[in-house]
Amino acid sequence: MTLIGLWIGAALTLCIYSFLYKDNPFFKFAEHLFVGVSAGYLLTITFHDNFMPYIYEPIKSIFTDGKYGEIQIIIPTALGLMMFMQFTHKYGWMVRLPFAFMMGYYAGASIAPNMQADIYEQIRGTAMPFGSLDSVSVIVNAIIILIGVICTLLYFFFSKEHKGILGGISKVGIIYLMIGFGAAFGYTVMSRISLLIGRIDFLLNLPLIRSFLPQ
Amino acid sequence: MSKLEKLNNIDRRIIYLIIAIAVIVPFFIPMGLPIYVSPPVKNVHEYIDALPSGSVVMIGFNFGPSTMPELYPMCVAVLRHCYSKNIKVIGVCLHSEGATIADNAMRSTAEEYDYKEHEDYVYLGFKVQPVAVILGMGEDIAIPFPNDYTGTPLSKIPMMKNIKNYNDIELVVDFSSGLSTDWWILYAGAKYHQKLAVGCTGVMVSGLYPYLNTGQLIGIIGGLKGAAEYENLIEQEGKATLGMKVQSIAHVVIILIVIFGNAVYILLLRQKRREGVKN
Repeated sequence: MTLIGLWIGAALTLCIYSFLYKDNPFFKFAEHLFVGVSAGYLLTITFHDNFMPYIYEPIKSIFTDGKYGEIQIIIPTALGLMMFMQFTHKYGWMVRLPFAFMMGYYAGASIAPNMQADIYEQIRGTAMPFGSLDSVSVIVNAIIILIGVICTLLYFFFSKEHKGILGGISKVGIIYLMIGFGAAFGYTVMSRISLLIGRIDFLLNLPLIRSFLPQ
Repeated sequence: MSKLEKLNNIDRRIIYLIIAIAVIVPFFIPMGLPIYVSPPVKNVHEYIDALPSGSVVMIGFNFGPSTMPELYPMCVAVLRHCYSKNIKVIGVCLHSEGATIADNAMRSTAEEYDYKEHEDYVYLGFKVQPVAVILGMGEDIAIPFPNDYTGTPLSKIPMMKNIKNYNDIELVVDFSSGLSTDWWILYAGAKYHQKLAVGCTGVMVSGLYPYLNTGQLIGIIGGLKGAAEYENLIEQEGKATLGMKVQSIAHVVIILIVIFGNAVYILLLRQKRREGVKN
């Protein structure tokens, strides 16, 4: 069974890579199969690992074992069921209730941590190295980061035309952005090649192929 | 069409073929390319290495099969390091496709070190709504995970007896191919001051460096290179070390292709300029 699985995996890998030559039915088949399997897998795992133990079983236990403490599960379950009402014209308005609940929850849960993690901490991280300038490399790095932060922020300041001093600062900001994009692109190339290496390694380690290859 | 124009319009499939050859051939050539350990990876290793025996590390397996070649080797390397130090490990999964990958990684590595499930490690399984799960674990792990992956109630698991929330966890290592790192930083790091380290795909690394600079992350294991560095640190060569040797050759070929493409483009521009002057 494992061997069959390996060969199916190998065949699907080749189907996907066949797109590099040109679009073809084998690629389309593998692509659609992937979408279908992913959706089916998500549905199944959500049903078995979440719906059954946290909704079905507690509600069942209210009636079978008299666990009335579990009755609270009915509120989130009802809110979840209301999400499906968007498929009906008559009761479509009911979907607003769970959405309002979710928006309120996420806004409340996110605003303070977002401010803390992405604003305060980043400002602190930019200023902090100036508190311990104990070596030349620290001083240089701190200055480079500070210039980068100021110039890049000013590049995104659109209330004044980018001319004169602001224009010059913006150009420095663009250089920082380009260096950032270059680094990100370099890492992306590395990442994609890593995935290719993973697939080639998988194909070369198939039992039949391995037996033909030099060790 | 001149030779330069032909080279400028080279069929992309030829480039794909060159890359494929550059990736396949090095698998059969023994190479001893050195792997230098970068400070972000070293930081993670040193932090785990300094933990006393019996400490608890939580590992988030938040990736699917599509990013396994990059993330699975680093998961195994970190698990081996934890197990070799007698550190207890809690596994969680916030990415549906990672549920079985995590189970395989934890079980297969535990067998190497004779680690026992529920005594030395626990895998809690997959849970939907990651933000609620991360926040919930800050209060009590049993809120989002009343049972582990095998269905055993947390109250009946010996290892979880003295572990209630992030206060009892020394470090969270998130292996991520997407947004989960942001969630951990926002909700476990900023709200509960949980120490965090990240193992991520190469694509994500440059975006996470600001968090490293501020100390919000103690370290980053980035892409296959990071995984190879970690394997080097624990002195156990695995898939990542082999992969990096292949990758080094592939990178040289890509750099040569980029230089070649730019050189042809510049020469073509010059040729067109000269032809324009003549006409």
